Amino acid sequence: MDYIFNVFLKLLSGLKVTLIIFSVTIIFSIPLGLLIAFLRNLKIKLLTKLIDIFTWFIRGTPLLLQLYFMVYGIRIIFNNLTGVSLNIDDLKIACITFVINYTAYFVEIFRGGINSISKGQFESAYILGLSKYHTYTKIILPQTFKKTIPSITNEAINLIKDTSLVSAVAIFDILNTTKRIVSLDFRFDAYFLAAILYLLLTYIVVLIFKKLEKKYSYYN
Amino acid sequence: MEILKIENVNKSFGKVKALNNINLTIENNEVVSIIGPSGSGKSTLLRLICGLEKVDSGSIIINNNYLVKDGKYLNNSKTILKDLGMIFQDYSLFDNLTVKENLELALLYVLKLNKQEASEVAKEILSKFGLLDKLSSYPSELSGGQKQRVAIARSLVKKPKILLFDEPTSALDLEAIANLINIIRDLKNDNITPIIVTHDWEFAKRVSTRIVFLEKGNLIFSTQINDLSTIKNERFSNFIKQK
Repeated sequence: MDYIFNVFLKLLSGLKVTLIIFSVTIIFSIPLGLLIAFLRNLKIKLLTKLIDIFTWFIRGTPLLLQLYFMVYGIRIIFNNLTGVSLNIDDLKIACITFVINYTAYFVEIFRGGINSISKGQFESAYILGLSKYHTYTKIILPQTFKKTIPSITNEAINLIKDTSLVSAVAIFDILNTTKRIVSLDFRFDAYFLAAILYLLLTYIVVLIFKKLEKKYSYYN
Repeated sequence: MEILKIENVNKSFGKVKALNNINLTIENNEVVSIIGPSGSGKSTLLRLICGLEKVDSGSIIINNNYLVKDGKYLNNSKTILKDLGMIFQDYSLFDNLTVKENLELALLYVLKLNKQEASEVAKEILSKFGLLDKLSSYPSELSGGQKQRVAIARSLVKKPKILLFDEPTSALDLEAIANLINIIRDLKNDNITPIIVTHDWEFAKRVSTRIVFLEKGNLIFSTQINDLSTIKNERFSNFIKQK
């Protein structure tokens, strides 16, 4: 039992890293996704094209590849160009990569959400004389957010599991810490504890989003 | 006084001609019903008047301001929209806002009233429509007639000169229709000209002072309701017989 407790304590440092990546990604990528989805809906040709290329590129390439490129590739490119080494820690770069990646997915989710809002909501706002800014912030985006909560929940659950990809770029999250413990102790207990931690995180996320869904159920 | 003038307006959707050289003048304080069978172009005409669709050619003048002049849109939608309100067929209330918030939105962000003023004006208008007990209700909690009254109240916050109605009786029971007729008649007191698109001939007959008949994108006639008996038009006779 002492061993399990010790492993658990060691895993806490990994849990902290996983939570940092998860929280930073959620906090930045959801508002960014909403903003970019709004910009895309302005139907400015060049902007729409750029946003489409962004979402196509990011969603069309593996997150792991993006992580390799950002954590290792960017350092080499920066060093070759400037002769100076880039002084940012890997965790920050990983967080930025996750934010970019998940923003692309959220843009698509919110774009679908905005498109599902009835035309009448836009048209009556237009005739009332509301600006595009107020139309979106007061009417369209709150309705979009409500409609997309189930998809956002799915993405958040995916994100918990995707954070484990950082173990491939030598960042000690839950998975990488577990791997290290297993290879040092030759015991598999840590794998079970890691699974329990991931399940617990997923459970908490589902719970939070269910609360959010309830909060938004004040209208139909 | 002319409140709306439509000159030589044409509109096509692809190869389909929706409106063919429409000319129409509407005076202040008239109650005008635009009637006609499905596909006659009456809803398109309404959407052109409020700028939700663009004309291919022609001019539309609202309260002496050009919305479009010879097919060219002038960048004055703010001035034009100030004078227009529209009641959509499905009412298009903002689902995420309460009845009171639906009214306050334009008061706060278009007319730039402060929160307290907006709240007072919203309550005052809603009380006229007997909706004070619904201030905190969401649109999904209202009946069809109540939704329509909220939609009308919401349009009135801007004090428009013209109020457009798209098929206003399509989802109403008889009592709500009678109520609507009274509301439309009362708009005259506020110097508002209602323009109603409807296929409901009985309703149009009861509420209007002028009837405009459209068929297949052509304006067949526009006449005072009292002069309607002088109209000898087979297509119009067929239309009202079907109703």
